[in-house]
Amino acid sequence: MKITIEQVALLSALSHVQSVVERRNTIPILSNVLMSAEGDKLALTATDLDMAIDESVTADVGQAGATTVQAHLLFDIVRKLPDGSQVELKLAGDASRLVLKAGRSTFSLPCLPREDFPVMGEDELPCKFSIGAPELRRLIDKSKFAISTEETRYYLNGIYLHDAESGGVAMLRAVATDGHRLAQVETPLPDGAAGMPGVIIPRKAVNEVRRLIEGREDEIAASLSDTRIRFDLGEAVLTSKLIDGTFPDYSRVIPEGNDKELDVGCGEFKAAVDRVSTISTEKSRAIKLGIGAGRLELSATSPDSGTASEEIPVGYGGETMEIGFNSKYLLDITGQIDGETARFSLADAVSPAIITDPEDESALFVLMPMRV
Amino acid sequence: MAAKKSEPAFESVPPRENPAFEGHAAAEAELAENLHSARPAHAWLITGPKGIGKATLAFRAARSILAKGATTAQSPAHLLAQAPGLFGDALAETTRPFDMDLEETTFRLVATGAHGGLITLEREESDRGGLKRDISVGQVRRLIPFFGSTAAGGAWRVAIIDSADELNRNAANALLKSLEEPPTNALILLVSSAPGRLLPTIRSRCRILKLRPMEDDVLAPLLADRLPDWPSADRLALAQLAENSPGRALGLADEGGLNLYREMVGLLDQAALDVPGLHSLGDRLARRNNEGAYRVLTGLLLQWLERLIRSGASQIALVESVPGETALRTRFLAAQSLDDWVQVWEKSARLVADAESVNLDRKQVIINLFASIHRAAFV
Repeated sequence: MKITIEQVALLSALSHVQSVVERRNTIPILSNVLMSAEGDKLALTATDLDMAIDESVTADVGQAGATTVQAHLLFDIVRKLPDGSQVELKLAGDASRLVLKAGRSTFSLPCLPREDFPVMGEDELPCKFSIGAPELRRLIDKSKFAISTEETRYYLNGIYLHDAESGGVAMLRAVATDGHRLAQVETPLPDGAAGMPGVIIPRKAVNEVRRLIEGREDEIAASLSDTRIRFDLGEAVLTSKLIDGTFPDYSRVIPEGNDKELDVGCGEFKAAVDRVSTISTEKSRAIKLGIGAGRLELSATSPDSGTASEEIPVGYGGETMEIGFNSKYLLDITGQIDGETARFSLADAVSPAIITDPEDESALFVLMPMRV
Repeated sequence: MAAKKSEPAFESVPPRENPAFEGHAAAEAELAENLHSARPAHAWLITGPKGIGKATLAFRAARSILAKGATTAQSPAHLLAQAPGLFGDALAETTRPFDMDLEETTFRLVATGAHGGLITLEREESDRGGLKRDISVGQVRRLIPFFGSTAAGGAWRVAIIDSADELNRNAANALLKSLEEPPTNALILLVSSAPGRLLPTIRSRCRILKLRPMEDDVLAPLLADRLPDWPSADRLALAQLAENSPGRALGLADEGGLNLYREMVGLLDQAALDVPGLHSLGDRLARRNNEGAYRVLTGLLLQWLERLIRSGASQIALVESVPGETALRTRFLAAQSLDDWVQVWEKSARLVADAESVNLDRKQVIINLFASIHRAAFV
């Protein structure tokens, strides 16, 4: 293998793939990035066995070939090379070393054979559709905070992506929950996604996709089967395993008939919750909402830190009630509401609340109350 | 993958990289038949003496099912009927159901530990060097996300626990969850040389596969192949000491076990305790880099006592690994009752175990062991 490539191009590709590689790895080959040169492309692949990122960049290929080198090491080297320099990569005679030359610097890096590198099934995935990057970003951002971190309920450790019907319209819906809160976001179902299998995308893959689509405006090609999902972003392709489990029937926990509607100014409410919650204990983070006509009193009590309360004007015409919530969850959810108003639909002090943006029906959050 | 350093190197090639597998044809066939049947067992407990090839068999089974799946692998006869031209040649050599070419992707990935469909739980390296004492609950909990995500490549997910004897109590309890509710297309292979000590709840959830000591006529050529420079009498003695376990035999050969055994029998066979000889042995084994030899010797000494007691109880004369051994045994058995020898054995075994857990001085342990045996035999 012998190639010449621009430092900027190599750095950008490496920065995408190297993030999949775990810093501490007991299996040497998994610390490596697979580099294969063919035609006028250099393809880079990194994997942690749960997902893989492939990226190809244009390079001047003198001699085709493939090898694997330590990903973080290579990334650190390329990062420190002067901008705009030409990097020459050459596999030494016995294929045990990769020699990197740029300007006056020369590095010789140990290699492992490409045959030892695990390649994730390159099979075609049957269900294909394309989705705008901003839409995908919205689906992920508004649901990912609710993903559970509890490993015993592994089937909650991801975003459940499936097709659903909402008011007679077919939608692509993303749902995440950790048992205390639930986020449901939807977007019109893209062509080709009808009849897709419902899949649970693991958190790590969610984060990785989100990172890759940051700031992009173009269409992303997604494809999936019941065991794999792939996002094709042009030069970079991410393939991930899925969570093999049944996502619970979340529709049962979304309450119907919550008749008390409370409209709060989102910014004002967030700031007040943030202030009052300073008092609540680190462990429970409980905060009490005392709701009366036209006003809302937020309060917190802690045996160690004292008490706090704050009153804000709200739109509410129902009977007076008190309800407690985890303040962090309140902040997480109201942080996902883009409009100026957040609408709480409540039933009573022990039933879950629905939180929505009155101007945006495509996102809905459910929050369990706390006893305070 | 790191070799198990703190123990004598029973396997010169780690099981995950070992393409060779001799003997145990019936056991392998039983496992293969079940794995490739319509309803394979989800968990197998492979038992047998140390060094016999339990883990090697587990990795062979894992590779086979990861590469071919459960149902696609058909009996050779079936393949022959389908495509005689294609498989006619291969059949002449391929007789073992789990055989796989070294260069096949699955073999290479399993050998490097990079196969996404396989997870191996074994003792990790500790920060102080060497291996940790046991397999922790944290390691076992990795099975939950592993079995909770879709399989890599093929449809199967395989977990190998090498060995189940090293699971600590919490880890064993944590394993029950996965053993009880395995997802479809999951296979758990447990390796154990002391299945009686496992939790009964673990044993009862696994199908048990017993590997027996290897037949002489299988072991002899294997040892001849690995130890070509050894005289055949020595190879035979080695096989006897290792109780026909090839891994143990090679481990003993690695640590000079046969010479240690001869020295040990020589020291036992002294009417007056050979104090200088004992000190010289103790000094050698107490050296920093000689931990393997120390373990071999204490193991051999306990084994010798065990055999002494067993031959006394059953009246069956044992084969001599060292000339004069039978006479020595007869004398020892005449000197004390069997009960007393059992006590000596018990005391010695406890001393060896204590020495391990509280890091007793190795030289002193050796001297104490020999002294207490000598006291029983000659005083």
